[in-house]
Amino acid sequence: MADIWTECGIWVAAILTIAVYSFAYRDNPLFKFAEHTFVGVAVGYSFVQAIRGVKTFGIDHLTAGEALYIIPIILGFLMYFRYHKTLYWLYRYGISIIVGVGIAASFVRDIETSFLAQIAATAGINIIKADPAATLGNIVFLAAVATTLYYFIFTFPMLHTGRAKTLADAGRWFMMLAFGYAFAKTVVTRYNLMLGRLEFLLFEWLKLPK
Amino acid sequence: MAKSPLEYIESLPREIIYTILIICLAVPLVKPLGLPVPISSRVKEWHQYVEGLPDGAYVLVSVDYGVGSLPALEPFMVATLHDLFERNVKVVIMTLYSDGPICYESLITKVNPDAYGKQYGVDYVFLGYIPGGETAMKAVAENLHAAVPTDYYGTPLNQIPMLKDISGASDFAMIISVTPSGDVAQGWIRQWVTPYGITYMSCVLAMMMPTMEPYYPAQVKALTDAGRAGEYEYLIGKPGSGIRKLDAFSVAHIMLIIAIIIANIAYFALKAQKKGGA
Repeated sequence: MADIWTECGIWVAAILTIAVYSFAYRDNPLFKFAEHTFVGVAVGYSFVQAIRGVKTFGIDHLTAGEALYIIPIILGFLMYFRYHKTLYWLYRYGISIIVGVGIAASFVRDIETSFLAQIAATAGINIIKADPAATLGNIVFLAAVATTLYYFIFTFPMLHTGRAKTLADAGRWFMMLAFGYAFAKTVVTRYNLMLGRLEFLLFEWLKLPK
Repeated sequence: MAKSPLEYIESLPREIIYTILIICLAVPLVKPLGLPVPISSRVKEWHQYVEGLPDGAYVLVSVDYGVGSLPALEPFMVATLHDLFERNVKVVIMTLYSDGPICYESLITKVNPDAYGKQYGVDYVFLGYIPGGETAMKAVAENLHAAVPTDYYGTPLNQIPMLKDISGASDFAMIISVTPSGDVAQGWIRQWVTPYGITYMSCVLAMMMPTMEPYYPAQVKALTDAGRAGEYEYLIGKPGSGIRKLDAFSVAHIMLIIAIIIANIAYFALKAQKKGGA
């Protein structure tokens, strides 16, 4: 019996996969149906997970005697006042606490993580390595960092004129290379996602031999 | 007026390009070409870090992806768990994605810890979905038992043998995160690497590599993209979904390069024709 249900699931997933990829031809009702189904299922599942989260990380603590947990539960509840015509402003308390805590948690460490540690790591590079390719890589890397930073010095216009412009141009070329790399990697990601679905269609749905 | 061949190539209908692409991706999947599998230094480095874990070390594995990116990320996660379960280490698994538990179920079915003699609660545990994003990372780092009262199946953490003596980030030797999100990948650095100096390994979608490269190797000790799953499978001798995709990747890349060359030739030839006609 379980096998029949598994097989039904595979068929539904396969039909929805094809429906989603039919968008590559053009927008159509089948794609719309698959899109709305996916969103509906995702919302339903997330809702159940959210309820589970409220129970595990809130109510369970409260019933175990940890009274302070009433505060986040009330703040969470206040967020639903968003839909009240006159008391809607109460939701701001919940939102402000969430945003405030989130920013505080990340910002405090971000200065060191995204600035100081990277400046130290870049400044501490040993340019000369046993491997000539690594040495060349380090030189190119440092040139890229220096010229890219140079490109963004807009305070002194004379740095972007005459021969000095060459440095800024080099920085722009390095950035273009980086964007090209990012675009190429995006293509690889799309292939990877599509291959995952093709694998499902070919081997689990059509049951071709692996 | 009928289009000339050059004009037709320049504005080739996308349906044709997509059809050729699907063929290029599907045929090598069904009939692998057996192209060589060179293993990149990034994958070797990843494996070396796993290999270097001392006996009994605790590793936090965060399945930070949902079903949307599962096809791309799961093969690398499967290979990583195979590599971890080969060793005498304790694996604590969690997720920051609400649909992460679905991914965990799929993952653990494919890895099959029983085959390695690993026992749930003794050698590995699943904490489930922990909401809050970066604040959740911080809470788990500071006090695991306070942040997560039970595992995914409702067992209190203090009743799980392998978690009795674990209090937070300082008890872990390594953290591994596989994610499509740059914010998540960077969040682990902010909350686990910067304050505690934990060895951090990150596998991201290929398109997130440029975002994460600046953190490597000073803050992210091993960084790779999920497209390299096949190399990892080959390296550890556990062929799976990733290795099947490698030939398809190569053929699709060749097709794309040829398409770019043909389109450029058509573009410049048409430009020259128009110039000549004018």
